[in-house]
Amino acid sequence: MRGRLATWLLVPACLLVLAACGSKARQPQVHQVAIRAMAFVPATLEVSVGDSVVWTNEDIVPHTVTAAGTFDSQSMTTKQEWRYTASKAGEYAYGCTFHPTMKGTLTVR
Amino acid sequence: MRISLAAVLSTAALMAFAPACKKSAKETPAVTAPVEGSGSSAAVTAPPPAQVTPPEGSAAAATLTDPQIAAIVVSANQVDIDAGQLALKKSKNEEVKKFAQQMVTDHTAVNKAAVDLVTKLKVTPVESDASRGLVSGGAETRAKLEKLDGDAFDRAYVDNEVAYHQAVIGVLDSQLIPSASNTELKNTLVGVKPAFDAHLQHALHIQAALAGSGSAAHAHGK
Repeated sequence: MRGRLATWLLVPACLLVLAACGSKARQPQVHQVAIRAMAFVPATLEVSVGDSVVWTNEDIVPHTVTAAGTFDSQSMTTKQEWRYTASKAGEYAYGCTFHPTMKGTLTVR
Repeated sequence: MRISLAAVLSTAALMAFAPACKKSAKETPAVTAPVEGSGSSAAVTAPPPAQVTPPEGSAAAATLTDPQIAAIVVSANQVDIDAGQLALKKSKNEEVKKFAQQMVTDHTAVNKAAVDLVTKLKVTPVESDASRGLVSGGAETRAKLEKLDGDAFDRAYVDNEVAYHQAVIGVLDSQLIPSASNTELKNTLVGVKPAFDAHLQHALHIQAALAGSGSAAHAHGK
C-alpha cells in the first residue's frame, strides 16, 4: 500500500519535472567572429537558427561581411561591430567586398 | 586538456608573424629591382620604389628611429593614395578602378591610424632619405602614368602596384618592424602587413587578368 502510494506520488512528480525541463527551450546564443589580419576568425562557424553572430573589425582597414542576397554589414570601420541573427537554416558563404581574398562560411542548423 | 579558442588563435597569429619577426635587421632592403610590366605594351617602365637607406651614423645597417619610421609609413601610404586617385581618374576598367578605390580607402585608413598613434605618443615624424625617396619616386611614377591611357595605363599602374607593394612589404619586414622601438608602433606595423599582403595578391590577380586578356575589353558596369 505504501509502495503503491509512493509510486502514485513519484510518477506525477517526475512528469512535473520533465515538463519544467522541456519548457526551458534552448536559449539563443551569441557567437563572435574577429576580422583580424585580413581574415575572418574563425573562418567557418556553425550556429543554430535564432543564434546571433557578432563580427568585430580588429583591423585598421575597413571591411564588410557580405553574403550576397542574405546579409551585408556594409562598410565596417576599425573596431566596429556588426550583428546578424540567423533566421533560416542553410550554408552561407560570405566575404569582404573590399578584399576578395577574405572568405568565410556560416552554417545555420 | 581543454585548450581555449583564444589560445589557439593567439598561437596561430604568432606563427603567422614569426617569419617577419625572425628576419634580421641586417638584411639588405628588398627595394632594388626595376619594374618591368609583364605583358605591358607601355613604353613606360615604372621606376623602382625608392631604396630605403638608413640615415648616416646609424649603428646598424637597417636601424631606423620611430620618428623616421613614422615618416616613412605616412609617405609610403600617401604615394599609393595618390596613385590610386590617378587610376580612379584615368582608368576605364572596372576591376582596376575597384582596386584603386581600395588602395585609397585602405592606405588612408592606415595613415589615419599611424597619425593618431604618433600624435598619442607625441612623436613627430622625421623625414629621411628614405621617406623623401618614396615621395619623389611616387611623383616620378605618376608623371609617367599621366602620359598613358587605356590598357597601357591599366597595365602600367597595376605593374607598379605589384612592384610597389612587394617593395613596401619587404621594407616592413626587413627594416620598419625590426627597428621600431615603441611596442604600439611595432604592433601597428605588424597589424597592417596582412593588408599589404592582400593588396599584393589582389594586384597580382588583376595583373594576370590584364595580361591574359590581350587587348582587354573594358569591363563596363560589371
